[in-house]
Amino acid sequence: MHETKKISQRQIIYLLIITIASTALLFLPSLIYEEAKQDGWLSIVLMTIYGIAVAYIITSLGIVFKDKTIIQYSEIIAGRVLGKLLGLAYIIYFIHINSLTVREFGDFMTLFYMETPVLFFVLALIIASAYAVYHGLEIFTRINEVYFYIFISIIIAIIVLNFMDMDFKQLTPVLADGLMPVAKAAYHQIFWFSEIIVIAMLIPSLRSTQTVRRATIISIVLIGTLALFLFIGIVAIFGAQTSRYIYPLFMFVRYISVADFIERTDTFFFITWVSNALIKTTLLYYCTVLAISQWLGLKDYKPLIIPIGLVLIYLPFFLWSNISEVLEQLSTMLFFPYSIIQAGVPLILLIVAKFKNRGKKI
Amino acid sequence: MNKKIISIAVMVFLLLFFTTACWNRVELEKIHFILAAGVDIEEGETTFAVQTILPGNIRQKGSEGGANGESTVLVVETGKSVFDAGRKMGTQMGYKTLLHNQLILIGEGAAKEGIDKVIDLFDRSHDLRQRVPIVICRGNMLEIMNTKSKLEDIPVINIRDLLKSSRANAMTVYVDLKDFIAKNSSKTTGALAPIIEVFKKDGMEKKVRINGTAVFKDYKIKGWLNEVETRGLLWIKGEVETGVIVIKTPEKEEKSISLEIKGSKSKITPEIKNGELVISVDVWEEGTINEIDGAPVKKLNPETLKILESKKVEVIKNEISVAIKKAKELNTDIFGFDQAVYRKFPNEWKYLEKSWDEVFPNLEINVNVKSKIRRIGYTKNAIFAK
Repeated sequence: MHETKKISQRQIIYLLIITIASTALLFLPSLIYEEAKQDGWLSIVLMTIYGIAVAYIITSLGIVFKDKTIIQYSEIIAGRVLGKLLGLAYIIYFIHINSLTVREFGDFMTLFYMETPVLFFVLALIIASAYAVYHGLEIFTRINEVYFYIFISIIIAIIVLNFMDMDFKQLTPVLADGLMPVAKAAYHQIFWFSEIIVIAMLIPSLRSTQTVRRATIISIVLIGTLALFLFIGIVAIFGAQTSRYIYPLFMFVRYISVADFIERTDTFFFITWVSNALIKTTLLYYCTVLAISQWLGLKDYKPLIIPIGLVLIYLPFFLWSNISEVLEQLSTMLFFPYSIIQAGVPLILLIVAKFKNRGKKI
Repeated sequence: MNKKIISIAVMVFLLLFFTTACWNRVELEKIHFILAAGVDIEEGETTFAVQTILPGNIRQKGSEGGANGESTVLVVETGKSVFDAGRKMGTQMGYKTLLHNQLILIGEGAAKEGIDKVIDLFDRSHDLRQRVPIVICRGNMLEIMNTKSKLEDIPVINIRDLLKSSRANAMTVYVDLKDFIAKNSSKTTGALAPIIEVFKKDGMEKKVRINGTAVFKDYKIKGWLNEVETRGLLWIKGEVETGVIVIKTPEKEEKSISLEIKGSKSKITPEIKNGELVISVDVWEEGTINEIDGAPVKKLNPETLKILESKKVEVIKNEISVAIKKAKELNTDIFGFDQAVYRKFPNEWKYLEKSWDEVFPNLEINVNVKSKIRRIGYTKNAIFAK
C-alpha cells in the first residue's frame, strides 16, 4: 500500500531538516526572544534535547512496528476503538499543522505582492504540493535532496555576509534573570522540533529501519544547530529589536550590505522560503492522505488528494483571520495540544507496548 | 505520438497564463523612483516630502550642462499621518512610486514633537531597509532637500556622501534606521543622529553641510552637540576613525602643531566601589604629525614626541569632559554606559534602571587616555628651526 522501501538515510535527514527548519527558523527567534531575551540560545539547546528525546520515543515504536505507521500500530497497541480515535487525532494534527504552514506561507507572500490575494499563493502552493503528493514520497524526497544543498549554502551565506555587523555584546549578560525565562520560552515553543513525529508515518518507506533512530537524532541536532547559529546571529544584529519583528530571519537577510555592493539579497531568502514551504506542505499533505487512507482502510491514497487539497485551501482562512492570530496561537496556545500529539501519545503507546509484551523481546 | 504533441501543445498554451508574472505589474517608465523621504510635523499636520529622480535628466559627469531641466523633483504633501500624506501624493504624481530610499530626513518640528509619530511607517514598510541612514534637519527641511550641490547632481546622494565623510572625520555620528529605533526604544539610552543644515557664506553658493549631532531621549530631541562635543562622545564610544587634533607647541603658546588621528579604541568599565557606581573610560589613540606651524620645535626626538603626546592627551581629555558635561546637562546617557552596567552588573541594574535619570547626572566618570605618535612625516625638524 505505501511505497516500497526506497528512501535512504541521507534523504530522510534532509527531508526532516527542511520540513522542521523551514518555519522554525523564520518564527522561532522572535518568539523565543520575547520571553528568554538574549539567553534564548539556551532555550534552543533545551528544545533540541527535548527533540532528541521525542525522536527516541518515536523511533523506538517505529523499530518494533517496522512496516506500520503510527495510524496502524496505535490500533494494535491501544485496541480498535481507542486506536481509531488516536488515528483521527493524528489526522487532525497533520491537517492543522499543514493549514498553519499554508497560512504562514500565504501571509508572508502578501507582504510583497500586496495586491495579489492570499488565495492565489495558497492555490499555487496546494496545486504544486498535490502534484508532488500524487507522484509519491520518493519523488519529492529526491527533489528535496537537490534543493537541500541550495538551502544550506544560502543559510551559511547570510550568516557570513552579516558577520561584520554583528555585535556579540548584545548576547550578554548571560542568565541575568536566571533560568526561569529560558525554561519558559523553551516550554512555550517546545512543539517546533518535535514535529519530528512525521517520521512515524515514513518509517515503512525507509530503505533500512536500522538507521532510523540515528537519522532522526542527526536531523534534530542539525536543526538545533542551525536555529542556534541563526538566533545568535540575529540577536547580535538586532538586539532587543528581535522580538519586535515577525520575521527576524527575513530582516536579517535584508540587513545584508557588504561594501555597498552585495545588497538587496531578499531574493535568496525567497528561494528558500518558497521551496521550504513547498517541501513542508507536501510532506504533511502526504502524511495526511496516507494517514486517512490507512485509517479508512483504503488501498490507495490518491483519491484523497483532491478533497484534502480543498480542505487545505479552505482551512487556513477559516482558522485564522490574520497573522496576529497565528502568532498569538504560536506563542502561547499551540504547545499544549501539539505536545500531546507529538510526544505524549507516542510515549504512552510505547509504555503500553512494553507492558503488553513484557517477557517478549521488543 | 499525436496525442503527445497535442498534450504538450495544450500544456504550453496553459503555461502562457501562468507565466505572465504578477498582475500588479508596472512598466519601468511608469514608476517614480523615490530616493529620499523627509518627514516633519508642523502645527499638528504631518508633512511628507519625497525626492524622486528623473533619470533622463541626470547630468553626466564631465559633460557640459547636460540634459535640460532638473534631475530631481520634490513632492510635498501634508496629512494626518505620514502614510496619509503619502497617499495624497497621488494627486500630484500619477505614477506608481518605488521607494529606493537612500536617506530619511526628519524635520526639526517632528524631532521636537516626537519621532515615534513619524518613523514607524519606514520600519513597517517592505520597501525600506533597516540600513537607511537618518539625518535631522535644522531649519527648513524642504530647503535642505532642494539645495543642490554642483559636486553631485542629486541632493540626497550628496547628503549621503557628506554623512559618510563626516563620520569618517569624527564630525558626527552615522546612524541607520535600525540603530535609531533601537536606541530610542530604550528607556535609559540616548539616541543620536547627525544634523544637517543649509549654510551660506558671502560670495558662495548655498550649500548643505553636516553640523554636529542631535541627542534624543524618549523619542524627543533633547539637545544638540557641537563638533567638539561630538568628538568627545565618539572618543568614549571608540568610534573616532580619523580627524585632526591641534595642540599648542611646548615652547611658545601661539604656535600650533596639527596631528592626525589614525585610529582609536575605547573601553568602558563600570565598577561598584563602596556601593557607588564608578565608570572608568580608557581611550587609546594613535596618530601622526602632519603640520608644524613655525620654528619652536627644534627637533622631533623621542622626548619632544613624549611631550607632544601628553599635550594631545590633554586635548582629548578636554573634549571628553566637555561631552560628559553636556550629556549630564541634558541628563541623557549617550555613551552607552547603561548597557555596560547592565552587562556587568545585571542584578544591580534592575534598581539602577529605574533611577538612572538621577544616577547619571551625578555619575563619577574616570577618564584615562593613552596616546601615541607613530609617524612624523618627511622632515624631522620644523621649517626655519634654528
